[in-house]
Amino acid sequence: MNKKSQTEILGLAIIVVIIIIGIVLSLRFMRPNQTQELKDAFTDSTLASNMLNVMLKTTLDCKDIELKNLLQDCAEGAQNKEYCGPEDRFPCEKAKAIISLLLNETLTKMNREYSFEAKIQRDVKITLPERPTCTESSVGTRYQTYKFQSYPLPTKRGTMEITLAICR
Amino acid sequence: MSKAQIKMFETISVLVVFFFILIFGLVYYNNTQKKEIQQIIDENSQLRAMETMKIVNNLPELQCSLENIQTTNCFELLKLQNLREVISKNMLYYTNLFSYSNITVRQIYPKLADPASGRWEIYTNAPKTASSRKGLSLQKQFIPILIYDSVKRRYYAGLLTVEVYS
Repeated sequence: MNKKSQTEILGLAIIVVIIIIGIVLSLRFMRPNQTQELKDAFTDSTLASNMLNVMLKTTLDCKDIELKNLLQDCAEGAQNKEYCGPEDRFPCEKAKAIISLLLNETLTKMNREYSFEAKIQRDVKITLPERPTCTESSVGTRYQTYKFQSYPLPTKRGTMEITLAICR
Repeated sequence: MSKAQIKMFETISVLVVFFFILIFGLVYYNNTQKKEIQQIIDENSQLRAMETMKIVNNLPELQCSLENIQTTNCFELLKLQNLREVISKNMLYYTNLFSYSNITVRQIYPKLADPASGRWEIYTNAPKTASSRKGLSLQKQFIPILIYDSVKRRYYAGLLTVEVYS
């Protein structure tokens, strides 16, 4: 009788061991890939930085000045400067149009969520898109990562902060 | 006799359940391993695409330079227009660098009346035979770059695209 019950218990113990091994193996495979996360974070950071550098150094199509000079005029509130014709009269509108085009041709086509902001002393001059979903507060809910790069632009009114953030 | 039969039945059912669990475990493990291997392959192709992009970005045959000082993330327009010819004359050397991939640069601002004039296919090398193309995937990487027109002394915004076959 004793040997019979011992055999039964041994059988049960083997089943339990197999189930535990199965659970441990599943947990191992369900672990998130940390290497991929680090690589994605680095890629987004580099992309934002490159995008900003390219944007700011680009020359306007109709005038021999760079986009960063246009943003400086925008920050200084230069309303009397004409840029490339009546429909692009004011520097902020012209800058917004060019930045929007650049971001649409690059990040939007890559299906990347982003937010762009140019502000001086809490006065936000340009925001793209109009209602950005890629914000720091959206991490954990809508997105997993939020990587941004900032570029300080000196102007007569102070330092203009230009920020481009990419979310994943 | 019937007691022995019941015992036999009991033993067989235990064995059946055991093998069922074992087979289920093996199938599950096999599927998970397949996914992991595919993930590793995708990761490696992504890394290869990024590596190729870094090489292109740092090619002296393309980089902007002023008085021997290189500007990062910038290609000279005149060099860009002639690089394809240089590559076709030295295909073996560039195949060692870039392997099976396509490298394209496109001007995005200012917009051109003829978009084809602002697109340069620097390097194209796709696997040719059907057997070598089977099961191949294409990994794409993009990076924004500046295109410097040294004649007009202007910077244009461009996009460098690298597609790597894996």
